[in-house]
Amino acid sequence: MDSPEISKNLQILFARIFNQPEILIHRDLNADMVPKWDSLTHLSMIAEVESVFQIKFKLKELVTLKNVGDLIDLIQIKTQS
Amino acid sequence: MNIHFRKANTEDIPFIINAIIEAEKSGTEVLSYSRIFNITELEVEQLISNILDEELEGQEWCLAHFYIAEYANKQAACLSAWIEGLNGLGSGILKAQAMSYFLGDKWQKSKSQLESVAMVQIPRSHGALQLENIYTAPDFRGQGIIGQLIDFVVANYPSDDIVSTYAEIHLMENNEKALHSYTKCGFLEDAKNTAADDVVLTLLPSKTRIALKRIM
Repeated sequence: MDSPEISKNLQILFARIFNQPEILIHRDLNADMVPKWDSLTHLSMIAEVESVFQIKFKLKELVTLKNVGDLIDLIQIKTQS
Repeated sequence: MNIHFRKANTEDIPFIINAIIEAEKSGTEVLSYSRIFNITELEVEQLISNILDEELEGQEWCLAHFYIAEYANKQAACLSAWIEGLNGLGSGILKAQAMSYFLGDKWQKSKSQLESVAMVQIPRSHGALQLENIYTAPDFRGQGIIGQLIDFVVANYPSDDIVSTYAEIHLMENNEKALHSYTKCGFLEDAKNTAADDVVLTLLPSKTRIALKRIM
């Protein structure tokens, strides 16, 4: 799956998980920039990503994610393998 | 008393696991992780051990973040210290990720309890030195060791990593002895958060959490 398609799916997913229809995702977006992005919503988001993209993250992969850009890159790698 | 301060190593893991559990109980019999996830104290020990094994930096249960105060080759006290958000994600998210990974379904089934506990959380300051799991073994209490350990860590924390001028401690309000001890070390109350609902008392030792700050 390519990066624009991943971004499109994440846009829909983020709007729902963080309950912010107007949210605009970009590569630098991180937890500090989204008020409802806490440990609980983060884990819901990760679970949704795994479900939507039909992938499974390893713990070591998850803890390296600093922002949406890192997430997009990781999804791209996981969906290609 | 000649106290020696050092970084923790794998031989300290049993002491550290016990320290985390006792610090979490805050002098009560309430072990929040047991109640939130409906698991035994033994299972909590295993969970902590699993997360320590992963060496996940940037959150409180990382062996590399622990410091030990030692007297005559015996562990007397410990604490964990890290810079909040240094590598991107906050410590709360990192720890939650690790816990959910090892707990699986038990995490999923505990969402309502986790939401209750979240009501008393206070956000940690990005870039500030965090001190957690602060514990003194019973034989060494009342001798000011923990104050010396805190001073040692604050004075010796790698300067390259420090991006804030503050050190922070978060604790439950019922832990009056610890609060007195940290105040003596120069920490002042910076924030307080009380849950509106008493339900949280079935999960935590207190319904109020306090954040303390000290200039480094």
